[in-house]
Amino acid sequence: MFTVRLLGDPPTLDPAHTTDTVGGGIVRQIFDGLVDLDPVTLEVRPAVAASWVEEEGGQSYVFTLRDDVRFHDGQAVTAADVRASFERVLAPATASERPWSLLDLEGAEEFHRGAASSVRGIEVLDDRRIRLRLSRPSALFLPFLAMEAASIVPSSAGSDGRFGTAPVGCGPFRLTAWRHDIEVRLERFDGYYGGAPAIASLRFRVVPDRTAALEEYRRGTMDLLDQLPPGRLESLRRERPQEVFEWPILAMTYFGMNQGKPPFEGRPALRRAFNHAIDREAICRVVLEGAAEPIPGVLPPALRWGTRAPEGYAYDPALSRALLAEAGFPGGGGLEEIVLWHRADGLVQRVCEVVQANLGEVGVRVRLRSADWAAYLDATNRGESAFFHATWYADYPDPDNFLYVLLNSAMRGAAGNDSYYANPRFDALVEEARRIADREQRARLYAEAESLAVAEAPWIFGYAMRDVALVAPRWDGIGLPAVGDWAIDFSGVRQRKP
Amino acid sequence: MKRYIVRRLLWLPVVLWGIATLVFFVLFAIPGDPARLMAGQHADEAALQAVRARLHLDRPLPERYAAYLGRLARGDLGESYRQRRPVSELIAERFPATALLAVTAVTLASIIGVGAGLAAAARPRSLVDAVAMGLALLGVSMPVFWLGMLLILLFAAGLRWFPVGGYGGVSHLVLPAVTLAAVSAGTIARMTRSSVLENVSRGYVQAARARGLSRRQAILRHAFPNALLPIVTVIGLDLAGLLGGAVATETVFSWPGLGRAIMDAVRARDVPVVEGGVLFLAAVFVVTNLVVDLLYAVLDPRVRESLR
Repeated sequence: MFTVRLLGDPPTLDPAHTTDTVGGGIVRQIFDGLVDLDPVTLEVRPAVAASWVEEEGGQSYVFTLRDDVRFHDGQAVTAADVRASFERVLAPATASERPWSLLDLEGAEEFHRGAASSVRGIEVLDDRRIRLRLSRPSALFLPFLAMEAASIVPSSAGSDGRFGTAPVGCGPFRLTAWRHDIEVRLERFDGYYGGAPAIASLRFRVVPDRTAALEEYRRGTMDLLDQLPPGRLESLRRERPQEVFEWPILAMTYFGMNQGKPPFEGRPALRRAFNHAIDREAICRVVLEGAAEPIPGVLPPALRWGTRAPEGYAYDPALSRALLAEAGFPGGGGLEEIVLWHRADGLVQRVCEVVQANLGEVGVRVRLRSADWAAYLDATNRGESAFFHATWYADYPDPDNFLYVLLNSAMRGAAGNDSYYANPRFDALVEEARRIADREQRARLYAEAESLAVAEAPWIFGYAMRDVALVAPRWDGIGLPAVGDWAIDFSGVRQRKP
Repeated sequence: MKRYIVRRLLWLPVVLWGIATLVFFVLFAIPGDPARLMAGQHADEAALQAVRARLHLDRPLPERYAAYLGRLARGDLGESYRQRRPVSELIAERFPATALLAVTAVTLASIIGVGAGLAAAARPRSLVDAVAMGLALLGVSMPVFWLGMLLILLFAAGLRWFPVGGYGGVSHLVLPAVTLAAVSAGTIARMTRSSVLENVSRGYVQAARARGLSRRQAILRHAFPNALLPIVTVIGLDLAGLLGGAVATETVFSWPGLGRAIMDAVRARDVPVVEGGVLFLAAVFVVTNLVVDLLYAVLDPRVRESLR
């Protein structure tokens, strides 16, 4: 048995409703989709679909399913199940939180509104072949299909809450018991098309306290542990070098400066002054104990997209003071105290304290405002907060998920662009990159867009996150997924030979 | 007596209506959008609208309040936003864990607290008194999460006598129960000592001593039974409080109690779970207090008389 620590009870195990990493990590063991992502290179690779061909210049795909895929109840997975799965996510009755991953399908919007009885773009050709036609070509459709929402579920799965507590998928593990707030138990599915996993059972145990979880691990009652208590990483690296795994993930932290609010509105020099004032190197090394690395712009290195990195802002208090004077606030004079919003979390608060101190050194007075996640989202989404700490975990491995979602003017506000950045040239670049397929061409567009945004400094550009996990030494074969440790695939884990 | 009980129970719906209303409007007033929390940080508008519609968050407030009261009147606590299961099911799952922990802790605390209080009262200003009251003060003052962590480090991580946390056999119960008992025992010991000492100086205890009873006998047979009322009050309040969930202890020891479930629901703005959970706990609190009041009548004939 392999035991994994869970931060809390998963709200649901229904892939149509999973938006959190706690539930998402378990959903990934129970369900598979047509395709999935290579955990490291993030390339789309076959899963339930053995192969696919593009038609009409990327506007349509024909997927051929493997013939050996079965659900945990023994039923064979057919093209009709694929259609039912996608229509279930899009059906108004389901009220899925993630319909957007499939809204590119032709006719999906009408169906989602309740104005059509089926999705026009889904065509079952025979038991094992299905055609998916999009309303326009999209470079993002295949990565979207690898998301949890696009998991294949049996046609018989209803749209009510029951499927979320008794899920049936075709993934490597099947659910055997769920004692709420205690544990979720999975067992290996012997009929798994990718070969039955080596470990017989997988247990996710709810341990909400970080220090208690670390003690469980030390005692050997926990095999995989993430979210370590703050301040312990350095000593764990020394004590257990073989057990500490660290790797870059698709997440980054920035400090948003609302472009529509004073004092940031119309003052690029002030925003650049803020960027030069922050010692991001020190934040990453000292506060975050090396579990993050400064980035010059928006895209984290784990994306492996090969875009040319923009020229960022070096830590330079003297230059910061000069820019501050240029902006009309010499020595910070004339600038009112600025409130920095952050979510209530000890480590986040310590990071924000460094930002507060750094800005204080150049004469800018900052007050910290801590809020629980719900209240924080409320404040940043409504644009109430002029200055805020934000961390973004990618939903899909594409620059689009950072540049388009967080900075395109169409996404201003709650949709993602919470700093209300708006630049028509930037918009044109990221919108064009959405529509074309050629990766090199897209990379050039994204590099130009990123440099543009960096120059205008809607954020204090921060750092890319690294995940840290402890894995008990008796185990082998843990892949380290670039989307984050929550997505670890346990089907390849096996006991290390003595 | 019967009429008294009926009268008290008739108040229950009124109390619950007040609490239900308070919780409803507080949850409405605090910042945070439940649909946004479910849909994710940067969900699109279409998804949000669908979620809002499913949760009836798109309806006007008076309509939601009326529907809510109507539901409660039928005994329906509603369905969790996030888990899509009946709130009553969730309470039925979590409350036994909470009750087990609370009853064990209070039983333990009563035995230790009353014992220590009596020992201290038997010889006031002695070494025994100083030690007992010193420990009691320590118990009352220590933050539970800190004491809990200390016990984990010592007895689970160090000596390995007990598991770090979790829910299962008796061994899982010991550390969290001791943690909670330490606080309660402190209060109970202090109350026992002062209440007994107050009675010791009274005439009837002096009279008993004059008849030749030792100080110890006089305390046990005469002072203690008369000192019980405030002690029972403290124990009752502690029990009622712990039945309301000991969030910090439940968190440190991974104990699947109702308090933690409600706390998680507050964070996730899972409104029906908070409403239903708080209402249920309020009812438990009221009933526990009623039982304590009835115990007064058992313990004290004067109270019994006044209830007639």
